[in-house]
Amino acid sequence: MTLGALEGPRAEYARRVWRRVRAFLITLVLLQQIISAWPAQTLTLDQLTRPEGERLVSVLERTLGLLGVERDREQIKQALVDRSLDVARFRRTLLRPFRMLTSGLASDQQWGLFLISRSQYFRMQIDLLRDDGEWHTIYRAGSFDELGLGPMLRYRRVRGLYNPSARVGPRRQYSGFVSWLANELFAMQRDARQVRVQMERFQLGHAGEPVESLGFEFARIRTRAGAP
Amino acid sequence: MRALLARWVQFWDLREPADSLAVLRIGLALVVLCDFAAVGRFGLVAPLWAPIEDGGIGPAAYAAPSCWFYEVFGASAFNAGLLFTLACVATASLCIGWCTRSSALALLLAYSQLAQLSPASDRGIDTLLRNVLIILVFAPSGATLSADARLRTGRWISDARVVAWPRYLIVVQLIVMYFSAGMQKQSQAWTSLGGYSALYLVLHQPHYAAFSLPHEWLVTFSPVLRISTFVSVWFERLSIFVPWLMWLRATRDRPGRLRAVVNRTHLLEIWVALGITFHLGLALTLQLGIFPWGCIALYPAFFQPESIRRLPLLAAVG
Repeated sequence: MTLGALEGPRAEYARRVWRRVRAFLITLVLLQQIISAWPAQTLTLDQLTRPEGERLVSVLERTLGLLGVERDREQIKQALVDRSLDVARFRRTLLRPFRMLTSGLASDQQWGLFLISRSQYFRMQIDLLRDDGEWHTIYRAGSFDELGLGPMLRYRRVRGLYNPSARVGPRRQYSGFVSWLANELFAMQRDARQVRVQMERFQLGHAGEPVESLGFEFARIRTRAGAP
Repeated sequence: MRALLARWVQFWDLREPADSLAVLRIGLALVVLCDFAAVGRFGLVAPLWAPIEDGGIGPAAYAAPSCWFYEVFGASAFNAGLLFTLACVATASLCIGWCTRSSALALLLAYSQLAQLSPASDRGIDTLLRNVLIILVFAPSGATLSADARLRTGRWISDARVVAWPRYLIVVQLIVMYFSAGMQKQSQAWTSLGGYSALYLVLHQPHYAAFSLPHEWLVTFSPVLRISTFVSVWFERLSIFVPWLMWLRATRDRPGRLRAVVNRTHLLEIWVALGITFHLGLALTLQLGIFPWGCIALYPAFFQPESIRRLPLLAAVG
């Protein structure tokens, strides 16, 4: 039996109250959605020294100048960092009542999708140290795939485990990923003694400029149990 | 003020046929099912979600279960499989619309547990779909095109009128995502400072690019990529106007020159078409898994249920 199926003045009153309660709850959800979408990360002085940061500071400097307020660039940068801290703190306070629910349901409104903070990217390379004592490359993302690992490694959930950020490096689960992958490879390749996973960092210039390799990083080596 | 509040309450009580919500529900469930099928095909259930001692990548371990499912039932590879199976069954059940709200709740709970067991493998699209699932738990998305409708009325399609607020909330969810993503794209690559080079950069990344195109080709196509970057970032930022466009469309019978011009120029349809093109473009050029399809699955929220009903397939079922 739903509220809509009931009849009589008391049912009509209950429906009216429910409509108001529902509108209130929806308003609460909307507010939570919007506040939750405010950037949780704060600005840093380093970010404001990048060209896009400098541009923002210039715009603010000019705008304040038009309003008759004189501030030098360093003061503006510091004020921006301070205000972003205030906003993040305020956001956390407002969202505190919802935190248990949102963290329990892994729900969030932070949508930093493909931000691309640097013109750099990585290419994963997997090598095996075989019984002949030589390192053999078995996988280089996008160009070489001896064992047909590509489809699995490029699957979004797996990529999330190893794909490093150009700014902050590999994720927390990278080490565990390498250990798991090494065990898989040891099972597949009887003559593999060691597995090495590493990321080659590339620098990309403007269109037309060549791509430059900056070398390998985040190398992790796993040795087969019992191997010399 | 009282009149305004009364209109606000009235707005959230609006009714409409359930077709948009039902198509969205089916689309969302199909996308999640495809993703789970990929997990099964690659044999990733244990690596992604089992505790480290049972062959998992982590962070879950016997001593650190990471989620309440493991705390209650124990952290083991078997329970990882059980949780994954529960999620699959709930998704299939949501897709056919059997015990629809309970299925949405079961999927939401299982999906969030999987997220906590492997945070790095849980991507933005998973969060988006879970956010929508929260709405579907309270929404009558099984009122039509569902086993529930079949059991209740003897027909797969029902003409029942349901509350429209779930559809509006899903629209808000999409707008929040697009606008927030668009506004956060302030790095050089997304602006004139970097020559709108974001897509040029992304297509170089072998972890993301669907095809490893030669550098020279990407240089040749860079003007097209710059235009695409510009269009995609402004498509996201301009999404803030979509609720206003939808309101103008819903009130098209009212007078007003601006309303008439906006409706005549089909700005809403253009934005939606751009969105679908944007996501299909992503699906074609980048390996983003279910991201583009998951977003497109939510697009029925932008359509009036009456227009969904006119789709040939649904018309045939009806």
